[in-house]
Amino acid sequence: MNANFYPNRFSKVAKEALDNADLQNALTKAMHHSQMVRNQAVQDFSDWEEMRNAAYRIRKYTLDHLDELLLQFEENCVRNGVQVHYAWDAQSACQTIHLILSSKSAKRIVKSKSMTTEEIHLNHFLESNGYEVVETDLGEYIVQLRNEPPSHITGPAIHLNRKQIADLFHQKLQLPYTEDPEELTKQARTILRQRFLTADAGISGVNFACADSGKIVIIENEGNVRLTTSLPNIHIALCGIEKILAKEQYLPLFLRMLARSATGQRINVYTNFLSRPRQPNELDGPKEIHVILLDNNRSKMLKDIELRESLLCIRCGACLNVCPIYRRAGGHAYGYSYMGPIGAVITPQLIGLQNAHLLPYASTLCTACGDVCPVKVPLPQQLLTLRQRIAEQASLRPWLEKVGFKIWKWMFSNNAFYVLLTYLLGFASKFGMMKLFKPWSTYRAPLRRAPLTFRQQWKKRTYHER
Amino acid sequence: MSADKERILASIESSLAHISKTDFVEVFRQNVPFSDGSILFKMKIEWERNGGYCYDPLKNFDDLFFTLSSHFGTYPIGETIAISSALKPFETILKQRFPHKRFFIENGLIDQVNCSICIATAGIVENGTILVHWDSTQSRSIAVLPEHVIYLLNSKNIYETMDDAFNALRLKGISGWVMIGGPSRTADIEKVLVTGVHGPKFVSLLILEEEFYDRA
Ligand code: SF4
Repeated sequence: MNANFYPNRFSKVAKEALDNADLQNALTKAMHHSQMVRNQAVQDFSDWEEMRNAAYRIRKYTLDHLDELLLQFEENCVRNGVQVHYAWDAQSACQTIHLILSSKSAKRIVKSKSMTTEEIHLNHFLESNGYEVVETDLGEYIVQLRNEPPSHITGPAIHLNRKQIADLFHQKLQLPYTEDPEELTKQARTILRQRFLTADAGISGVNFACADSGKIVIIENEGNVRLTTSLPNIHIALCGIEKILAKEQYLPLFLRMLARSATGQRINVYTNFLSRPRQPNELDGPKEIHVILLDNNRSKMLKDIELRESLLCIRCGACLNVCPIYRRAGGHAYGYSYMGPIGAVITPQLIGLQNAHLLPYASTLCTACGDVCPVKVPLPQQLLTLRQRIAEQASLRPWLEKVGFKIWKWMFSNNAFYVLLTYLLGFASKFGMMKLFKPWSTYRAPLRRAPLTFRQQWKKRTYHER
Repeated sequence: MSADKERILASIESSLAHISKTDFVEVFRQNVPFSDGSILFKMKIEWERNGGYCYDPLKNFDDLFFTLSSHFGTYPIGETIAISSALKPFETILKQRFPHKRFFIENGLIDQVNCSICIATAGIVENGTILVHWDSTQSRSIAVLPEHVIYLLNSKNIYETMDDAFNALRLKGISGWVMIGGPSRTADIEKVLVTGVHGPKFVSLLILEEEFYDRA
């Protein structure tokens, strides 16, 4: 596994996040806002639940017919003049991109936000091969300057406050110090505009790929996707194979739901429908469009009846915004490109349960994630399924837990010992044993000793209670 | 990588071998909420809800020039204005009416220009957006690159929903377009809304009544 991924350090990084006051303030503010605007936006529709059912069925249709739909999409792309490549894994996808770029001597790359490119660690690969890669989404640009991964699917820099960003621009870019978001944005615009105008190639993700027309749809608010896919001579779109939609006519439903769930907008500012490269008589646009269809374990995930529906996800980020764990731990604690409840479910499937066995426990199982998901990914059930699988694999459980449960089992199956132990524990707690549980009560209500044990209460039942 | 293709398709096939497949799903038409009023009025209201500016529908050239002159007076749009070549017939008359401005037909390289005027192919009332497509008469970047963009929209091409508008474009044989809903924006810094990130900060919509548009 890539050294930059560290999902098995979840507890440690989450603990650091809890102790970071700046991060806690930034997360509280951002999460509260995101949840509020999403809740307001979905009220536009009286039939939101029916929309969710329809979206679920349409996405499920994609998964069930993925082989046919991929071929249909490819056929239509080729007819439109778009080149299609398949990539079995991250390495193959990176190599394919490298081949395309090097064949055109393209060195300067502008990128728009894409979680799939984070998944294959594309920036790292390209930079180590001598390419100059610039993220153009403002949030992504900020985290790239900090040499950090994004911390949220739709808001990469939500973990930072304006002061941190002002310091960053001042120190790294030698720009005049300002904490005004408007000014900071202007500074980034000026720098990035030059990058767009001199870029050899643009790399983007894909939100939806329509099998029946070969169109790819990319949504955004800043205009950077528009420029990434219009100005350079080459456009490369990296698309997870599950992003296919059978029919273009399904798009309005998804566009209505995705914008509202992601940012509480009724529609994103720019929805790009791209189907073919620049034609001979056109004034601008990429001369080549390449779509890379990435598997990276997705085709195997399809087989797993209990977990395959995590592939329905349209990456809106709504489940992150409502998750009480994400809202405190932040995105970096998950140690992988996907975070929050959806990250806790797909990361173990993408990189193996043994490499991410702490993530399914990063949940209170409050089920809020499942309730907000626009495509009804059964996240709470999937988290439970993963926990069950971890429990079944002895090697994934910490030795303390294994020994603890052995003792517990023995104790609870031995009546005399159980009585003796509860008596001793009750006695010890009178003399300050509860202090041992202090770490438990740091973030929770303190444990209190019950005045009577269960057995004592049972004996004292009144006639009526019996 | 054709080996990868074979490998992926084989893997999908083996994964789907024991799955009972969902049947084809009909397109779901949801109840899109609308405000009251004429379609032109609703388009104006909804576009402005997204942070753009929309003038009252224009009936003739006098309306158009009056609107443009008040627009040029309100916004600091600079000297040079790029216009889409679809608007070539207007070029001479624009130059006469606004002698202090320098109009030129765009050629796809308009990074130095502060303002552009282009054609919107369709308007959508449901979410106050417009659809802009590109071809030999209009570049991809004219609708996004300058800080001020003025879109001209034929009132005939306003549709109630996205479904209707997308179908209409497909019927016209248009295969690529961008749906635009207001000025370019971000909330990446502390969730503070800032407009004009990479695209325009000011977007104005001029709806031309059908008869006038056809005549023009
Ligand atoms: S699982 Fe659902 S709520 Fe979470 S990101 Fe995916 S689509 Fe959105």
